[in-house]
Amino acid sequence: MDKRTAIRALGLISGGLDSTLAARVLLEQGIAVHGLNFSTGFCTNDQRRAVGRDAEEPRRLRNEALRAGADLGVEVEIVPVEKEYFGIVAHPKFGHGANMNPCIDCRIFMLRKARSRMDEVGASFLFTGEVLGQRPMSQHLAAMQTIEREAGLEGLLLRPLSAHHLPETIPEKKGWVDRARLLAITGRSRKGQLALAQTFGIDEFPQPSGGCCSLTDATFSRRLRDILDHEVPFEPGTEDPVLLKVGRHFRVSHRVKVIVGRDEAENRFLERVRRGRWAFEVPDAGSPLVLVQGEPDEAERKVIAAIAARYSSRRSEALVQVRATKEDGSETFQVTPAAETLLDAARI
Amino acid sequence: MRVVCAGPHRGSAILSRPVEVEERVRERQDPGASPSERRCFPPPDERLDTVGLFCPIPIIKTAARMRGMKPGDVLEILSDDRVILVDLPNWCKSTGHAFLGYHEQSREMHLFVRKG
Repeated sequence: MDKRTAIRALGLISGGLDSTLAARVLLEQGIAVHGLNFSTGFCTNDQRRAVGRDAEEPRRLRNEALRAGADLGVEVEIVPVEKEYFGIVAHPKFGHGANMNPCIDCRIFMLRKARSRMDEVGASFLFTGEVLGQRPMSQHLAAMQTIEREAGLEGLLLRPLSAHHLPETIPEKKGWVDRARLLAITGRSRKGQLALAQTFGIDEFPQPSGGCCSLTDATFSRRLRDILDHEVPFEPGTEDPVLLKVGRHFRVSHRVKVIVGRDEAENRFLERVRRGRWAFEVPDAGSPLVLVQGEPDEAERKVIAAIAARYSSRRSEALVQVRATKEDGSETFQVTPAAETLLDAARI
Repeated sequence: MRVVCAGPHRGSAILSRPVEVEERVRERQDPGASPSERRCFPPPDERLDTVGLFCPIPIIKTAARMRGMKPGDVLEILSDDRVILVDLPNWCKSTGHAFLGYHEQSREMHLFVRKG
């Protein structure tokens, strides 16, 4: 490997195969690499980790960006951006994809952030693992040019894996990077990347099919859209995004929704975050913890009690005792378990 | 109770993979570290409590704390997120710091890192 390290590049490194290969291609040319990974609060691994199922093998929940950094010998700096990022999720200039994923705005956001770090780390240009034609929303030519322009990086953003299909960049023109040693991968097939990984001896990488961002998940997105459409507090950077991945969700009224734990791990998580909220459960029975978001009135509390009864081991009984507790008090209900019609109407 | 030391302490070099040190530890009512655990690690210069926080937050906080420490200083990190056992060594490997190992009490881990 060429030991010249006069030129430094700053790259977005997710830990996925593409960004790992992009970094490796530059390292092979003697370019020094510094990685950035942004913690948006919508990483599925981070959310699974927070729920903390004991049976989950820690390696399966590892941070892939840190793993890639270790494998490459490259520092990957993790930058928390949850609060700021939520703004573009709620109101993306370039719209959402199939779900709540604001892919173009997301890329612009991250690249702008990276651009502001260039001087601090002594980087001359930025790079990503983007592949022309791979992702439908953000990786076609027009989108990639928009992203580069909106991020203020025209000419300074190198995509090593697809460089031969893209205009020559400043690092190539200046000879910092040898264009002949960059690649011409395009499209959705992974063959080019897998072959390159084999050449480099890279055999540790997560599944390249995506799915690491909750915003591409239909159920998660539906629940997030529900939050935005109703008066339910939502604080990025807390357990609020994780709650959207946990349990069954039902809307009781414009101001009140409930989350019904589905297993022991989810019940434990809901108990850990209840923090001044109402919680319902059926005593002396197999029961979920039902966490309430919002302040239910008495009629709404009865509906919630019926939902808790429906998901308990006493669901087939005519009347079920349900206990509702909050920090400053508790009450008990005798309710008929909720009917399927109510659940279907309320389910988010 | 498990104690995992990453080999003998050798300055700021990144150490090879941790060698498990299996020890019997008597039940104690005092939850502090046993003498055998304390012997394994140098006394920390700083301590960072990340209990209740989940990766990547402990790593972010560790990185921030380490920036203010001197080379050779030892940071003790408290965590109850088991994935830190994978993430912290990876972070150390890529940043030039030394992961010294950890000991565990109940569900809480005490991890030690020496600044490179």
